[in-house]
Amino acid sequence: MPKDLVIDSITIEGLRGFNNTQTIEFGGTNAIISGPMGTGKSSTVCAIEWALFGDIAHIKCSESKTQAEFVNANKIDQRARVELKLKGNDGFYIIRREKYAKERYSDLNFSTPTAEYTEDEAEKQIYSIFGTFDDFHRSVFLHQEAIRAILTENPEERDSALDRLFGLEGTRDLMSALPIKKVKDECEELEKNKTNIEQTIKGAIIQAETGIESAKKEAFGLELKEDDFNFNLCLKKYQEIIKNITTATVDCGLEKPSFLEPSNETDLSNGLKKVNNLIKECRKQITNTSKYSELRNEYTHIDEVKTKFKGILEEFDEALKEYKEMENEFGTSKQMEKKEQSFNKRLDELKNQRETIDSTARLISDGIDVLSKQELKNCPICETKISSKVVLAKLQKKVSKSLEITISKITEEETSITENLYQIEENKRKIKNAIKKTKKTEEKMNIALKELQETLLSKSKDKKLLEEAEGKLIELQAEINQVEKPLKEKNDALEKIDNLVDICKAILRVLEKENEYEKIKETFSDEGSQIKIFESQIDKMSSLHDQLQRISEAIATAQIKLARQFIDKGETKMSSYYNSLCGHPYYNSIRIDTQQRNVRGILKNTYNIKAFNNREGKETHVISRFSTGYMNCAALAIFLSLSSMLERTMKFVILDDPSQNLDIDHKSRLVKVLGDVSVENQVIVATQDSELEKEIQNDFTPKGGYITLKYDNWGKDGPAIKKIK
Amino acid sequence: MVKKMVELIDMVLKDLKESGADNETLDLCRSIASWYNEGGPKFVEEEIMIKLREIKSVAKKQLKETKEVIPKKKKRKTRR
Repeated sequence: MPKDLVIDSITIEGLRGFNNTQTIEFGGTNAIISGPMGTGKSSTVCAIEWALFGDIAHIKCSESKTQAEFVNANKIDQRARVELKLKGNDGFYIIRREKYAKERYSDLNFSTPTAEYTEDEAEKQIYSIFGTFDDFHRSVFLHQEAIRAILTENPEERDSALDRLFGLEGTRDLMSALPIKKVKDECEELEKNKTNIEQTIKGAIIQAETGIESAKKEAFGLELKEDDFNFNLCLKKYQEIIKNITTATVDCGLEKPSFLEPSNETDLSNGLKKVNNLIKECRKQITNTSKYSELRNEYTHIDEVKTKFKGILEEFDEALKEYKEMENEFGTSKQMEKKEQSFNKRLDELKNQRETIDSTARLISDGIDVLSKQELKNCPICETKISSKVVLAKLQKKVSKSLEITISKITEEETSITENLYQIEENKRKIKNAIKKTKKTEEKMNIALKELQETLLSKSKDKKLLEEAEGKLIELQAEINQVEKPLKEKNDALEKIDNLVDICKAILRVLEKENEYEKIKETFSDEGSQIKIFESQIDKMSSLHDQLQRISEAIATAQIKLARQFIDKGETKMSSYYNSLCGHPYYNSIRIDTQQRNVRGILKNTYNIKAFNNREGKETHVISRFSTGYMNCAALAIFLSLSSMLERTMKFVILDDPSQNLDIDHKSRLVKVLGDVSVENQVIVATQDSELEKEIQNDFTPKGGYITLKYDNWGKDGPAIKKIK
Repeated sequence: MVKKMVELIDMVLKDLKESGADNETLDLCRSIASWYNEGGPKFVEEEIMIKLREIKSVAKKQLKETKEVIPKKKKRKTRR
């Protein structure tokens, strides 16, 4: 295994900002890569990362699986190539990696002082010498993004970054992979199912018990007793049924049926179904027997026609009776017309009388008028002296009274006559309706009469015809009775079979319900029953949950122990770097606290970075209290101290933009710390910070010296690099 | 990292033994370690899920068989 590997040189072509081939000679010394933003500084340090591991941590290549973004877009052959030359205690180690934009994987070649490897073998060798990609990031390469992750306020991101630094990200992933919650959910689901099924079983037992009771109740209704509910009795009854139905079927002129010997309840039940069908067939056959059917039809037809005629006849008689009664009461139509004529004549007379009185009244009135105009002093007849006014008044009074009486008599008579005429009119209408009704009923009666006559082949009418019909019906009934007797016997036989079938069915129903009950009882009372097996599966699931929970807790405890060990080991150095870098006026030391945090049922390590004052015993959370600059110093102190503790073959440290947010004083402190780090490591710093550069020029005096790589004038071909010793 | 995982599993097993965990738990812990080495955390999850599904399928089978024993309620015919 090689030791103290440092970077001797790197050749980059077509990777990110680099287009044409450029070789940067480090010669194992410290290097400051400086230049403005976007001139390829980060690309240079990323090239080291890519050569070693074929990946760049802080470039998200989600857009394509081929990671085409690594390849310079202007490169004609669309190929990226890096050759990293490392110098160890036993010679040179050269890694050559190249990849085409369209290809998913890169080609790898790795040569050591003793052997040369390609592809998978080369990967394995690199892994055994340089460790993993994560190891590289926790001990060698502090990227600006990683500094941010350590200082982030999001605890999950911070914990993950610190776990990576401590090499515990694997345990974190492992803890997350244990599906404790899923197992717990399944446990709950199975428990729920168990409760449901237990309730269903209880319900089924009650239902079966009720079923037995109801089946027995029905059977008792058929005069069965408690002792009768057995298969043998049922079989005996069944055999009787078979014997009877066979005879009945043959008697009805149907084919002789065949039955299988029943061996259990199901066979019996099927046999009874067949018997039921045969009973139906027999009944159909009996009803369809021609002679019986003909007689029945004839009887029904005559009875119907007779009843209809009888009904209409009665209706006609009723109508006629009603008409006659009216005629008796009101007189005949002719009589009424005569009466009407006489009334009308009298009315005319009264009218003439009234007219005569009217004209007489007018005449008298006119006479009085004339007389009242001639002033007579003596009577024209007896020549006596008279007062004409008195005479005329007397006369007028007498005349008007006489007229009034006469007119009143006339009016009275007229009213009476009018009422009589109205009554006559009403009676005429009633009689007309009665005649109409009688005629209509007569028409109906004639039709029914004709129908009955045709049915009976008779010419008789009315009551005689009805008597004939009655006689015919009695005759037919006698014939029916004669034919019906054997049919009735057949029906009675079928009825008997039907009853036996009902008894058999009732016994079978009780037996079936008892079997159901027994089966349920037997299944759920047995120790080795299915419900017990189901319970054992719940126990297994529950046990799996407990085991996982226990393992998870043990992992969390071990994880915290490992983190603690690591932190304890590096605490002195961390505080020393912190003091040198930060120089905080109050908080003179730094510490990482570890705790366990329960995230959705899973225990996880969580870290708190705290600064404290040794003298006053006060502490604070760096993340919430420190300024960004101080936090940056704290992150650098953590990284550099932990980096120095890890066992590794690489003796170089890469810092990308370490001075972000630092003031000039802290930049100066950083340069001093870099000097300390350079005692054991080749320090490579990429920076765009001219102040830091100035501080480095003034104060960075490592034992092996350093080179400055000035990046400038970035163009299509890549950066222009000027090396200054 | 591998070294750390080996160290961690040793610590976990020791902790489990000391706290009186049964053999089944210890075996499961060893299996988890071996699954992790074989295929990482995803493989661990998959293997545990296989175990879970095995238990679940036996339980489901039993549940189905138990339900079959219970007579089904007869649906009443509705007259129109």
